[in-house]
Amino acid sequence: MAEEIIRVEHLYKRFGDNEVLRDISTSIYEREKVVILGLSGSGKSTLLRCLNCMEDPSGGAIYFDGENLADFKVDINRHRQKIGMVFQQFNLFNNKTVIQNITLAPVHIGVKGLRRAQRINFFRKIGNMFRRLFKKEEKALVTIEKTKADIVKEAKEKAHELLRRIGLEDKANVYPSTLSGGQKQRIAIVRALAMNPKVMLFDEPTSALDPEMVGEVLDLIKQLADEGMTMVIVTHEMGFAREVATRVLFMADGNIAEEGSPEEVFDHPKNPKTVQFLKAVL
Amino acid sequence: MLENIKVFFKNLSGENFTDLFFEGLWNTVKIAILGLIIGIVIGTVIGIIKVAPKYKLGMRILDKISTVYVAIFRGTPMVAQLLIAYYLLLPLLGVKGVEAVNVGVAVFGMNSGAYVSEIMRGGINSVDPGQTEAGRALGLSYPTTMLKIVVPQAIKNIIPTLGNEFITLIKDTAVLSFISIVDINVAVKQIAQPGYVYSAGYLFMAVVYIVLVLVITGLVKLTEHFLNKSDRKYGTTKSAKKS
Repeated sequence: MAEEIIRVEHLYKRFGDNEVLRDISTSIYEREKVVILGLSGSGKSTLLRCLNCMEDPSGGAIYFDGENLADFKVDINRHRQKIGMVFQQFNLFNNKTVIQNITLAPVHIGVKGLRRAQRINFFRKIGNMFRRLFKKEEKALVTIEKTKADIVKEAKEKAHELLRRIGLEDKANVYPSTLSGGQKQRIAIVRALAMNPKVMLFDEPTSALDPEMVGEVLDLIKQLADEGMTMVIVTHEMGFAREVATRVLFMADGNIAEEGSPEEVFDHPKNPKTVQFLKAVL
Repeated sequence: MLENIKVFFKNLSGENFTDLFFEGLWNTVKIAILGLIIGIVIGTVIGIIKVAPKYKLGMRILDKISTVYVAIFRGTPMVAQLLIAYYLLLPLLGVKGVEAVNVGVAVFGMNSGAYVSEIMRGGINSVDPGQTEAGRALGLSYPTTMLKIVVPQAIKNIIPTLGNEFITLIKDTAVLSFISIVDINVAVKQIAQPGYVYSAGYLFMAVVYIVLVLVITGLVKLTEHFLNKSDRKYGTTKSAKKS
């Protein structure tokens, strides 16, 4: 059995009186590609956004890395670094160039960690002076491997490597406003990848794209899937869903109406709602 | 009238009065600029507090404090604030030897902060919420996302309004005379005294203010142009030309 990456337990989500998710329980395993299908309003985007607590669950639990993300006491930012997310509207930072978009988070988080280590060492050194005085065992300092310059350099190298991979290295220093939708979305995917996430969440990644640009984005997602990235995808591209998915969740009225391999769900749907949906979209 | 103007300029060209005029001009500009800078800092902090989610008790307390702050500083005249700060608060706190100019800077900064906070709130709300979401989804904290991504974009949107605020501040410096600071207003009045050429003096004062405001307008335009470099209409950046 592959390792469990995210476990959802009895998840509820309400917006006021409107109950969008009703008692959802499922798990996402390593290297799995889960595609969530459903009519609009069925809660599929909400479910995805609950996985990294972009929407705080109203009830239930989401376990990632052994911690419950729905708990307010958990440092959600630390966990989100390991959950990449790609949005329908790309959401590239408009005030940053492409390369800054990609390096911003890795550099910021790296430097934050460095500062923290330096702070701990500073206090340990002071503590050690007293420990020496009272002849107690001294505490070891945290080893600092990288300087700030190293962190920046590493992040830049990684960003260039990723840009080269998607063939947009010449766009490194332009602002997002000069890019096409497909380019923006590919850069958004690469930006999420730069954090080395354990799982990637795609929230309708191609719905805001012009038809001729859908292909390039789907190709990139397929590549990632082939490399073994764990992913959860909300999409309306049925052909793509069938090709990429290892498991399909069909959502209706805030529940998982049907779940199974793409063959089972697409070719032999059991739930009448699934049958109706597939008839409408295929 | 022409005669009056001649007399006024003769007064002005006297060495003492030239120095006095430039002292007044310098105080006006200095207090307005420093006041605006302090105002932007205070306004940004309050603006962020106002739009931040209020799950935590600390956040709700900060929100209440900033509401009271804004109510006080927008609800009382600047003159009253200056007088209270200089003649009431300073002696009450037992602080001595603070220059009136510094009190002016502090009061202008705090007053402007209250106004800028509302401008900033509007600016932050004008930025696509997706920008915040993207930052948070990458694991950046709320304050980091705000300061690195949202506020820079918000400031770009509110530059014209901030220009307004700056102009208001420049003209508001006329109330500084209440706590015996030499600003343009005071300087001009003193210069106009020999020969009682006040009419010419006030005309001159108006011209000085207009020139200042025009310079500021130009600066605001320049800043806007500079900040708009990430927009498509200002052309591609250097590297794009290279390729």
